[in-house]
Amino acid sequence: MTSSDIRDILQLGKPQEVVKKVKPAAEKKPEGIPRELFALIGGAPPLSLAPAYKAKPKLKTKAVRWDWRKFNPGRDDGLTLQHWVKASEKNDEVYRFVKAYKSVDIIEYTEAEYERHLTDPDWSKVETDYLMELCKKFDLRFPVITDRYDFPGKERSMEDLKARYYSVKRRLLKARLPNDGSAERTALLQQYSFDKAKELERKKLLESLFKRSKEEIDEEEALYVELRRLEANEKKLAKDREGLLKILNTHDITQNAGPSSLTGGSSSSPALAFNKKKLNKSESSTPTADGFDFVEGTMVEKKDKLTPGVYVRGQKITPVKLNLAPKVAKIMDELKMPHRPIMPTSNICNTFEVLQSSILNLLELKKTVDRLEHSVKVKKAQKAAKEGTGDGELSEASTGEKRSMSVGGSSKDAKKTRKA
Amino acid sequence: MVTYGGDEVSAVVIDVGSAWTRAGYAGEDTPKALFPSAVGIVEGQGTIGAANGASGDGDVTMGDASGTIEITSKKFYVGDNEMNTWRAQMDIKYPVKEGIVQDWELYEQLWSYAFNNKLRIDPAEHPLLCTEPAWNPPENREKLTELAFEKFGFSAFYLAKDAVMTAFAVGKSTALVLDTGSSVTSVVPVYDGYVLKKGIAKESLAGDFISEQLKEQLKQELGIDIVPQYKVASKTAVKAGKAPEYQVREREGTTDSYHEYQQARVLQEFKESVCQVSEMPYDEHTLSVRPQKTFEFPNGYNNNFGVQRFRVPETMFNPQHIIKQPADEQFNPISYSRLVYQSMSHCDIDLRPLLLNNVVVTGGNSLWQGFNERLNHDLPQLAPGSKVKIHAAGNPIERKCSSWLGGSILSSLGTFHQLWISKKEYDEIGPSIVERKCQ
Repeated sequence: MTSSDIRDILQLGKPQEVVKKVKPAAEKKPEGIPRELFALIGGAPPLSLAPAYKAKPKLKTKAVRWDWRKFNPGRDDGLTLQHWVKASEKNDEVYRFVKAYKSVDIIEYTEAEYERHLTDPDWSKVETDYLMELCKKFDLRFPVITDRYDFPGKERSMEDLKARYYSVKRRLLKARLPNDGSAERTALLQQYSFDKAKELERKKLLESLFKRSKEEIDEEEALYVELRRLEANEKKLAKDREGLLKILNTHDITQNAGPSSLTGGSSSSPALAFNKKKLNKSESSTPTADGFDFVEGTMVEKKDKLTPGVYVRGQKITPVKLNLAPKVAKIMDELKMPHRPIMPTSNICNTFEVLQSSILNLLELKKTVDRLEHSVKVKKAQKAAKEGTGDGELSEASTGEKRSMSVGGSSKDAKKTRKA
Repeated sequence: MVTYGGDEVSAVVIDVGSAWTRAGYAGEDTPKALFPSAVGIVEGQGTIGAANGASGDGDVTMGDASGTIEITSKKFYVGDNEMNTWRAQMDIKYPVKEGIVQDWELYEQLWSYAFNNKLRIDPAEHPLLCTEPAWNPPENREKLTELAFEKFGFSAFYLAKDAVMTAFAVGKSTALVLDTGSSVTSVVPVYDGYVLKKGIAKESLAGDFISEQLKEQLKQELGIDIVPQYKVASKTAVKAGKAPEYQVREREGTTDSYHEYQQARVLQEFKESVCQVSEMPYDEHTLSVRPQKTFEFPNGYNNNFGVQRFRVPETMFNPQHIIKQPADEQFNPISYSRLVYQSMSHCDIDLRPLLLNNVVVTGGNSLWQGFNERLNHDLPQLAPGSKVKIHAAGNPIERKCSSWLGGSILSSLGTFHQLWISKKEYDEIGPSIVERKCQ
């Protein structure tokens, strides 16, 4: 029964033809607007985007025919097996997996070669043959060879077997390769060298590593973590320490500004006097005076940064300025002192420092004296010039003074002072 | 096809264990046939006519010179349905113990059932891959080869070690395989596809032993004797812990072995649904707060089991918990984790890290809840410095049939076909060829 039959029964007459709505052609997406955005603002997506319904897939290709074929899997005993092959494919001439049948080449030797090169008091020929056979059978998998090794009357470890195998291989190579001393030959021989003792030692160590108890491992781990922590902190610690020392030192320097700025050049007279006193004492006696102790204290306080880790004490002695070094050395020689302390104990180093600074003081004082004398002479000369008594004296006096300086006062300084 | 190096030659794989036999086609992921490795035998004396049966085997013995003919008939019943059906005077026998064939006549029945009744194949068209335990003696291997070629007439044969197959099944060529089945638990180191024989460690503390212990425990603690289904005619529901009310079905002529087999089935169900291995070493106090589990025996007796359900399985990891010492003097069990450690210790020091990193757990007796967690807890304590990684298939079928699966993978590889022992080779050299070709 169709709908028209019902309409007939109910006398409804023909239904109005449903006007098929013609869909307006989908608007074309203007370029530059994303598809998603266009779908929102523009019309519905075009029909072409909807997946087309296919009532029946078009299968043009026919099912491929497969054959159940006999084949020989690359064996010489003629075993035939069967497998499925595409009918279109030809039979392989050689079974395709034959190329994967791999085995290790084991060196072989003749009776004569054995006699000449391979005899060993511990190994009979039969046993060597047996070993070689196993090597071939298990493709040099030594753990398996050791496991299956069963030669009557002999207990062999893996190292024994390896040592024998590699020595056989090496000796044969040595005998067969022409001895031309080429790098290739030595490299090849090197490749087959086997150090049994070393190997045994290695295994022993591994064994002991393996047998560690839980506590030992925990301890080791804790130590390792600690080490890592220290390593990570080391830089930070050193920096902190340096900063701290800097603060301490600046404090020190400001406190002892007078005595520590001895090499500064211009020094006030009380300091000079003080240094003079100290200088005399250091030459003659042990440093027991109060004033000296104080100076020593300031000298020992190192201004330069502390290097982390171990250092040589002698290294810590304040270096002498390069231009003064020869003069200091000369005085040291006069005093019959070595230029560096021979036995740098802290005591000696301290005393040496004191001595060195005293020498520097001495030089400084000499320079000052020199200058003062010079200016005195200049003044005198000026005075004489005013009075009209000749210039020659002045130049003579200055050169004479220069010669008289046993310490070797530099002419440079003299020039400087003259200029000034 | 070439990409994974497979080339199927419709080989057949069979794996006969102490409890279950698996047989199927190579290249498939589960065996087509899985049935108990037990045979029901009804022996009778009488006329030849009585000896006819589906899998019957008439054995005619000539008497002495008096001229009388004595006929002994033996009827074998193999397969789940046949074996479990009650029959008067039917003995249940296991041809395989600890993986080694004990009774060749019965063993042949298993093969014949698998190939003729289950797979229904013509052996001449198929190569056969058979698995064996790593400790199989040479004479047994030769006999298996003989059986395959002479009796069944397979076109080619290969004998593979089950531990190696298990390693292959999980995609490893080097592994330490802990296989715990019904009659034996073994740990076998496998290196590059070869068993390291010196490292084999095994003990008879396995599934059957646990079942025996459970039976003893139920008897001692609850005073119940297991009544299998076949003896129960009807039962009424009783409250937990109360004596069962049931009608006994009289079964005249039931053999002891049949009764025990049926009891073992009940115990198996009990093990699977109630028992559990404690994830941490057994501690009565902490385990007593674990939820209880209910179990109803076939005769209607039911009870809630709390800490008891942990006690017997604990023997696997701490043999001090053994309730009843077996009569065997030599029985000196050690825990599974120690067994693994012992096996590994016999291997070269260079291999040990490799082996410990590839411990593969398999076998039906490893399916206990908590088994892997416990092993994972115990083993690293024995070898504290090494990284221990335990691999166990999540799928129970895969765990039960792992060596079959490995055989299925191996015998469908294109590169394997060079290794088959062909009929021609067998004819030329004899059964001893198996020693040379199957390492």
